[in-house]
Amino acid sequence: MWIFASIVVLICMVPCFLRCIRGDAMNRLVALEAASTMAAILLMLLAEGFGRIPFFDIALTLAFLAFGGGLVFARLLERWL
Amino acid sequence: MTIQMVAIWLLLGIGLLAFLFTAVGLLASNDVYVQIQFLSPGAVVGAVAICAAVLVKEGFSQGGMKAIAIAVLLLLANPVLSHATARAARIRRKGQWPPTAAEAIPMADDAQPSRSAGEHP
Repeated sequence: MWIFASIVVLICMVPCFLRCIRGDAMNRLVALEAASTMAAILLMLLAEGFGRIPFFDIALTLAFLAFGGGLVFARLLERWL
Repeated sequence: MTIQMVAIWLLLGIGLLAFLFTAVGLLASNDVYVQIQFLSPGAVVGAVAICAAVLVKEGFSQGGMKAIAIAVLLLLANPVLSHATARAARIRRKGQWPPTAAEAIPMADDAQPSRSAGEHP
């Protein structure tokens, strides 16, 4: 069940990758934010699916770092790129 | 199938549908502001529903608490990121964040025609 859900989330990340390949810088940033959210949930689902509950920390860390990274990217794209 | 399993499947289905909605929206729209709108279903409904499914499975144990933390973090981060992205997109397009002169909304006092002092009762 959890592995099936993680496969579906992985499929949902494909449009984000496509948008990161095609599109201008802002489209790519939005796709990156969507993909980072999905990646955090994907890691949590995989940890649950494989019964490795301590690995939830990886998803938590990714969610926290993706927030900071998104802010920094947005600030950079305002004027400097 | 127990009630717990039904609840988990239901929450997982809601979350996955929200993520699918976000993914399709990202592909369907080219405007960055529309894409930012499509971020919210995945980050809010999707993340919270899937974390709730994990919480139903794990209960209020270590895993459940971490799922709550992930849900709260994603729930709080999404509006901030959306605002920062929209702000960056506007500054890239317009060159500034405040309204330009062409976008300025006239104030109520400015919109009314000026009256001479004799017209007042």
